[in-house]
Amino acid sequence: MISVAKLYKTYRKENGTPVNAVNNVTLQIEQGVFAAIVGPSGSGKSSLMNILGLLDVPDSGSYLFNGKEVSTMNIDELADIRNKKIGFVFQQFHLLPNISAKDNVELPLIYSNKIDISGLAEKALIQVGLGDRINHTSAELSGGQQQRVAIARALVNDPDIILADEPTGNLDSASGSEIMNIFKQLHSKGKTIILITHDTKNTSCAQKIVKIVDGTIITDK
Amino acid sequence: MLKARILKSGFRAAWTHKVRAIFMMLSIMIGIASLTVVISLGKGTEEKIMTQVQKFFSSNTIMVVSGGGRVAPNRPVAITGNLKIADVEEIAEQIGNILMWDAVQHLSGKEAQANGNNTLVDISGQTPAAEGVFNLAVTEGRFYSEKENRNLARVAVITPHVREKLFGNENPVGQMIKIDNVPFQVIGTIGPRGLDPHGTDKDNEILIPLNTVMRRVANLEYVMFVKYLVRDEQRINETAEQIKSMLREKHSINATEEDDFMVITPVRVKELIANASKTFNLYLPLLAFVSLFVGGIVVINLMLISVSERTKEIGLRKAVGAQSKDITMQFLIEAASITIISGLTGIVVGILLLTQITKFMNMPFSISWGAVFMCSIISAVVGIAAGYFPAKKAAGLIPVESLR
Repeated sequence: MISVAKLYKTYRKENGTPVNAVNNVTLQIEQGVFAAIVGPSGSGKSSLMNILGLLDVPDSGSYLFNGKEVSTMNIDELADIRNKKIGFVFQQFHLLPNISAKDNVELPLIYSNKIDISGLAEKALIQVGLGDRINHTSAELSGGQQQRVAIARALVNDPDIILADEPTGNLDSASGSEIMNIFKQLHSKGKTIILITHDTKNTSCAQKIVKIVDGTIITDK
Repeated sequence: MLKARILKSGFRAAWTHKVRAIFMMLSIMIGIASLTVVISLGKGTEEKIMTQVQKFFSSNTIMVVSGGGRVAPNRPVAITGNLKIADVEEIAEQIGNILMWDAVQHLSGKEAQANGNNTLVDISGQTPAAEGVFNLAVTEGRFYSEKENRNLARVAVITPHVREKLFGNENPVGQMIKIDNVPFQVIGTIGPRGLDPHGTDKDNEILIPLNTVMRRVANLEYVMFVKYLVRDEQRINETAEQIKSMLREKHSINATEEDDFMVITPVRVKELIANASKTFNLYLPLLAFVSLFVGGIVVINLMLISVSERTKEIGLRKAVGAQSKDITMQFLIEAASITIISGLTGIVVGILLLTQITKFMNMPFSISWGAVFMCSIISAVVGIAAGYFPAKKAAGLIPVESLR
């Protein structure tokens, strides 16, 4: 499903010092796998996730997504893949304030080609256990509930992959466990899960664990 | 389907940030409302002037006014006396196209007393021909005769306001009236005429024979103006030229000097009105345009701030699949929906203001639908222009950078 080879990505700090965030990364993730990319803070795991999620482009290297080379695609082609194939869950939830949970979940549907989108957002919210919070704004929800709204948003377009970047990072342990349970359920239903985390507790259910330090993969099991 | 969803999303986003939307609305609304008011007022004013002028200046009229180009220094036009009644008569006799004429000498602010009442009135010394030339409707009694004019008779024809103030409900015909302590007999009354193009109340006048005014009341040799009516309107300009050359000859004006009188034809009146209306039709709309331009800049600024504030939102929208054109469209719709709604509100507010202003200023209510149409187009253009640059900026953002 995902196959990257010799990926490089270098950023420059404000003082101009180059940082090799992704350094010669070669990695395969098969469909239906629960993969965890782990590493300490600043190790480059989020940079790798941004590239894998097509939110950023590598400086060099090859990236095959479902067998197609994506590193040469234009931004609109990438946006189309993100819309149809990838669901994102971020550490900061990234919910739009002032609008309801349902409207937040519907966001990816606005840009999809689906003709009938009615009921899909509600269905996704019910799936994550928020059937009774459909019309609540994010300010009216707890952190755990907000992250569940974000998961519903990631699910609503029925993507093949869920990319989660530190999804429990801003949550207490009880809420974190609930969120991890949702990922386990999604995986059991056939979704490919790529979890970025620094917390090794969350990797217990992962079939594949990729450890990254200073932008380089040091273990891939 | 996709576009309809983006349209709905953009429209909703515009009203999510209510305070910002209200400020954007106000900035456009004020500009559009003032444009609607100013252009419509200009049109109304011009129509009002035209109606008034047409009442006093029909299409077969040539007016010759004393004074004009060669006005003596520090002397107002009206005082420059050089239009002798003999010249006026001779012109009428020699130029065949002149059907009838009336010469006028006007004295303002004279005290009139009758029946124990007194009031300030304007005196209009006119020939008996005034009845026909100015189309006066005698409501009671009669108008004065040529014999009375020749004999400097102290007879007067009064207008509605004078009648009301001095005689109330009594019949004034046959009663005496004192003008600056000189007694006159009221021989008739005329119907209402309203204001003249200068804003003078024609219903507060007392008409007395021209010769009586010139010899007995004011001791003047000159008239203020003459109104000639022509037989053939097609030849009106030719007739005006004839009058001009005759007067120049009589006043011994050489080729290098300017006229010491003014010949006004219907064409010239239209030119004068157009010139006077310039303030309303050009300068004031220009000011309103500036206000609208400033409004547009405010909207651009607020939209740019909105883009900066909502960088994360843009990043998120892109992350979930929004393409650059979707983001562009979203911000364009946001700006356009606000400006178009503000524009329409501005038009409604403008029309409401206009009804009050015209009521207050006693003007006919007249809306320039051309202005309304133009305002609608302008608000849409301002919306698109105001949304375009912020939209381009938003669309160019890289998702990962926006999400940080």
